[in-house]
Order: sequence, then C-alpha cells, then structure tokens
Amino acid sequence: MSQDERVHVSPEELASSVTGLEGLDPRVADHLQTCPVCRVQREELLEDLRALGRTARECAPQPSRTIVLPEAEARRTPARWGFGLGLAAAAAAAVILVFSAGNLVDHRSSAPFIAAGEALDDQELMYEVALLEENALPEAYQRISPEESTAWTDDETLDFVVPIDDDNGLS
Amino acid sequence: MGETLLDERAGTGAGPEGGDKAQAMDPQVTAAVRMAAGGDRAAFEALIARYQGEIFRMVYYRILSRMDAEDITQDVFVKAYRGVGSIRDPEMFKPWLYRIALNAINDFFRRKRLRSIFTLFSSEKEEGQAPEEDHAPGRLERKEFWERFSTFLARLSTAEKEVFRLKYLDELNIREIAEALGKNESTVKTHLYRAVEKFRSERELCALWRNEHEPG
Repeated sequence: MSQDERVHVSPEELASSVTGLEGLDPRVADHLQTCPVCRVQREELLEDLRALGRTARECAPQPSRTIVLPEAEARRTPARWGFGLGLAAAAAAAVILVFSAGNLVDHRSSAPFIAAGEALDDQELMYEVALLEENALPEAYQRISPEESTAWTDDETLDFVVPIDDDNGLS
Repeated sequence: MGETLLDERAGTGAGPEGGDKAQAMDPQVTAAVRMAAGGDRAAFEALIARYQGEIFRMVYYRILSRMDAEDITQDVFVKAYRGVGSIRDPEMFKPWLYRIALNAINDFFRRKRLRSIFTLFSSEKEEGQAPEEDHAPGRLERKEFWERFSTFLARLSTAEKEVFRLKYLDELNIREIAEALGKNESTVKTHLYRAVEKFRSERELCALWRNEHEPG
C-alpha cells in the first residue's frame, strides 16, 4: 500500500473535487484516481447530490398554465396610423363626394353639405371611440402612470421602501 | 418552428460533476433564439415549450407555492419575450432566462414583504395566503423533503444557497451560474465548495436521500 493510499484525501479536498477537478492539486487528483476508498467516498457524495436533484424534481409539481404572450407592440402603432390614414382618406373622399354631388344638385340647397358634415362628425366620433378603446385612461392619468415607466417607478419605490431581503437576494 | 424540435433535455447543465466544463447549447435552441430575437413569435413559443417546465420548477424550488410559481413563470417569459431582441449571445439564452427569473423571485419576495408591512396597519387579512392544499399521493414525503432541505439551506449564506440550488437542483454549469448571477466563475466555485462542504457534513440527510432514491 503506497503512502498516497494510506493518507486519504481530506473532507475539504473531497468537497473541492466534487465542484470540479480542474483546479484540484495534481497529487489529490492522482490519489482520487488510484485510491478505491477515496473514489467510493467521492462517488457517494456525487450520488447524494444527484439524488437531491432527482428528489427535488419529484417533489415539485408540473406547470399547468399556458404562457400567454402579449400581442406585439409593434403591430399596435401601425394599426393606429392605419386608422388615422383611413380616416383622412375617408374625409377626403367625403369632401370630394360633397363637391361632386354639389354639381348635380341645386347649388342653393344645403342638404348635401349638412349630410357630409354629419358624416364627418360621425367619423371623428368613431375615431375618438377607437382611441378610448386602446387607452381607456383619461390623458391626465396616462401621464401619471405610463405603462413603460411603471415597472421602473415601482422598482425604485420598492428599493426605497423595502430594501432587497438578504435572505432571498443574490448579492 | 415546431415545439417538438427543441428537446427538453438538450443543453442542460453538466450534472453534479465537472460543472466547470462549458457545454455548448443545443444548436436548435441557439437557432430559435436568433429567430426569436429577429421577431419570430413562433420561435419564441418553441423556446417557451422547451424551458417552461424548467423555469417553473426553478421558481417553485425557491418559493414553494405552485400558484405563485405559475404567475412568476408567466412574467418571466413575457419579460424575456420583450427583451429577447437585445440578447447579444444566443448561447447565453438559458442563463439570461434564469437571471430574469431570479430577479422576478427577488421582486416577489420584496412585494411580499411590502404587503406584510401594509397588513400590519390593516385589520384585513390578505387573500390567497392560505397554505396550498395538496391531496396528491406522497404529500407528506414531499412536505418532509422541503422541510429538511429548508433546514439545510438555513445553514448556508445567501450566495452559497443560490449557487448550490442553481448547480444541483437546476443543473446549470459553472459558466451558466456565473452568467446568471453576474459573478465570476472562481467566486461561484468558492461559494459552491463551501456549500458542498456543509452538505457533506449533513450525513444523516444525505443517507435519507441515498436510501430512498437508489438509482435504477
């Protein structure tokens, strides 16, 4: 029995060998390769750690909820622009229609102009409704808590009111 | 990109031993990350299918509440979806996701503490704080396991605790842990060594798991 086999690796060296063999003292690494006693101890420790991971997985439930992703923000902006452009085109078409119609009817009659005005009013109203559907909050409230800055404000407020808990923090 | 293309076990950590050997991420995952970063929603959905279970368990290990773990997992993927376009190294997607999850868990505990401060001034009891009912078989064993594991974790410092969980429960390798925590690898190894040393000294605890979970 060689000297290395009689003087086994220390518990600290055993723990160190489990976290990675690269930085290990070459003599310890060699001993672990050749000494059956230390190899068994190391294997047992590794198996305990593997068993811990297995047991944790067995003792955890499975997720049951489907992840719901938000609609792409990028799509919303063109939609709003698209709606605006559509509205402008409709207004222009209505004006052209009014003037065209004006040539066909009695110039002294104001009925087509009233109808065209009402149509424009309706379209403006629908535009306002669409804006409200997208952003239900009144403008003043939107300025107070815009969506983008909420998380930032919350984090800063939380940092101030409730500092990171060391027991759960990572630092 | 179909969900089945990304195998759930692909690209996981190196297991208990040899954790500092960096493993290359599954090329399919890397490709999905690149596509998701370019705005491909289906590619991101494939990444969700690949990582949802893993992230859910990771969150559950730390908060031990199924409902809260579901909520946090949802938040993690929404944040990841919004930020995936800014990811510089697709190979580091997994630790990046874990980092988001760790931050979300921290936020959860901070909000919980904030709520507890407010409830001190209010006679109203918080809703949803009752312990979750678990009637599934093996309930007592599961409860005992988490109680014993919590007792062990209480002996560890915050950093040791987190590094140990990331390595042996979440099965991240040293490089991934370093990325997820924003620490260097030697710091991670030092914390891990100390945690393993404490774990090794808990022979009774180790024996219980070894006997109950003999491989094969």
